Amino acid sequence: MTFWSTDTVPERERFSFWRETICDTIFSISPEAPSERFSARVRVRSSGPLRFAMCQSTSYEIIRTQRDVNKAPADYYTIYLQLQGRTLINQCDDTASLDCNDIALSDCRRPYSATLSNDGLRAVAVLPRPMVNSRAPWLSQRALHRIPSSSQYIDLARRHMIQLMSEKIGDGETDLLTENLCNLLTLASAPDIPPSRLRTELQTAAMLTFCRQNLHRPELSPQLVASHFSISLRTVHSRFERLGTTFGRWLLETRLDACSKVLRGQRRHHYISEIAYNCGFNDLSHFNKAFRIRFQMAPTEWRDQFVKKQ
Amino acid sequence: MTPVIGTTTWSTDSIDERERFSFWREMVCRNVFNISVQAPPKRFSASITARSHGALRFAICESTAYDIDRTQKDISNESTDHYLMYLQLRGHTLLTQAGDAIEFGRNDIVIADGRRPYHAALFDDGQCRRQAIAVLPRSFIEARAPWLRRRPVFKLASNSVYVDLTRRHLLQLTADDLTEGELALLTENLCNLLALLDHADTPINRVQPELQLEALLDFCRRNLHDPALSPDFVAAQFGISTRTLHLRFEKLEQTFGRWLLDARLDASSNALRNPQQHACSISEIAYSCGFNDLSHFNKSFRTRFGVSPSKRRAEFLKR
Repeated sequence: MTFWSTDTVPERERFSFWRETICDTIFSISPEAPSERFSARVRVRSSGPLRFAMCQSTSYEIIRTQRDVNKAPADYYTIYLQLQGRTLINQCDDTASLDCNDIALSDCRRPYSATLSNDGLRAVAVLPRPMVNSRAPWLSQRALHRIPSSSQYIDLARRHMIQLMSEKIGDGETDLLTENLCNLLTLASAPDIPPSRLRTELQTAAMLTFCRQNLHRPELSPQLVASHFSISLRTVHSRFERLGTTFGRWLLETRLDACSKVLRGQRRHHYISEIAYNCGFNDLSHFNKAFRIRFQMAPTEWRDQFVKKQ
Repeated sequence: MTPVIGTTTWSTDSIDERERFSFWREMVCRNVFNISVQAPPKRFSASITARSHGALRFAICESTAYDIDRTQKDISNESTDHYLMYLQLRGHTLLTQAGDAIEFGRNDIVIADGRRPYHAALFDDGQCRRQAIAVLPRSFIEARAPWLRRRPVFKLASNSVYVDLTRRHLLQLTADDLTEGELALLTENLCNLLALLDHADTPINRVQPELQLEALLDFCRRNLHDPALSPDFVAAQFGISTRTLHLRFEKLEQTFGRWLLDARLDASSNALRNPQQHACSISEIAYSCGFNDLSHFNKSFRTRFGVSPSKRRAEFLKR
């Protein structure tokens, strides 16, 4: 947890401090000097590849130019929850105006500009793009999405966002809450799906969830998925093809990710073989080999690097 | 267009009064839930709206008082292996399992292992009892929340963030017209929340207040100059009661009045030391910081900084 504030900085230097310390180093954005007095505060928490920030400031403007994007390319989604004041975001050809309690998603690979109102307070989550995209591939159609405030899932998403801002939660909790948040954003952004694709997209989401829930079963196969959803084997394969992967590759990656998360937790007393079996692997040497290819180290080394950190 | 997982409703409403209980026993208790029930002494009425998808089942159940038993025989009759979650929406239930008695009331959640026999007494407190019920396969739950193996029954009564989110998910899952996708994603969230419930948790009334306090202080700092700044005024701005406002300030171990006076004195002291404000008189500075009584300002300034406002200004002019 890191906290930066302009409070202790002399007034004349506040903006340049903010520009250099926060905007340039942390967020790779270029702010524009405000005309009035400036003050800003930010609290940042990182957990693995995930980052969460609470930002509070007087009015100013932010630009992430193509140059900023090139300098620090980021395959992330930024999720904004406005808690006070207003933010106006322009990205590609879309504009979103966020008032209190509004949520928007923005693709970090595209330049954007934002106008922040006075006394603004925002909760920001930065999540790897594949995490969101594997659940809600329809979001990649546009760079900027505002969640409709009429959605019945926006309130739950908001509550998860706020909980994720808490300083006291550990990596394991963060992973679970982030997964829930991604699921809720998927549900809340479903109205963005063109009606002709609605059925397919939501069924794909259900299919992936079914696979995640049955990850521990070694017999999880395209046949099992097809019979659970009463669809053909061909349809199962074409759904995965649309996600840019195959059933086998998706399953292996998801199982390896699940193992790596358990290994990251502090359960030292668990045998690695037990963890692998619980994630659906039934051949240890296959697991070891695949893990090494994915993470460039053995499962034991992976675990030890986190044990040492703690 | 989207595959909607519909619900089925059984109700005793349309049934002749004498046959109500046996209908309920056969149709719902035996076929759906595999439990044995004891006939209530009084009039009986019940209804249930349930949704099933694969091994998942969600229901809202309403009834007058009666007793339920899940016996060893019921358990061995059943092919599925699951956990049950109950969210009490109205009335009281007393659950007895392996000698432990758990009473649960409105908003409490109970998680029970479907493999263990239990006895539940549903109380009649003059109104119908209402529950949301979730039936989840053991494999789903134990993979995510192995802590549930520790005891056969858990009651989640604390008003924590995770219990609150669990409650909200259960209500969503029993709502009308859910699609397959919604059902799948919400169930996954529910299982994640069960895993989260094992973590030390923030009481629900702590998260929002922290955010609100930051906002309150920020508002006050920006309106220091306004002599009308009072607890009532600020509370009205935020749509909260004056009592809540005072509660928020308690976290700073300060009262609103004390905090405001200190903030105003700090602001005036800074202004007195600011070369750009040398042209302003001391009284002007005091007024601009929200003081409207000069002698009160002078006295509190002296108490806080040990010097008078004019001395403080002179100290800085000399340098």
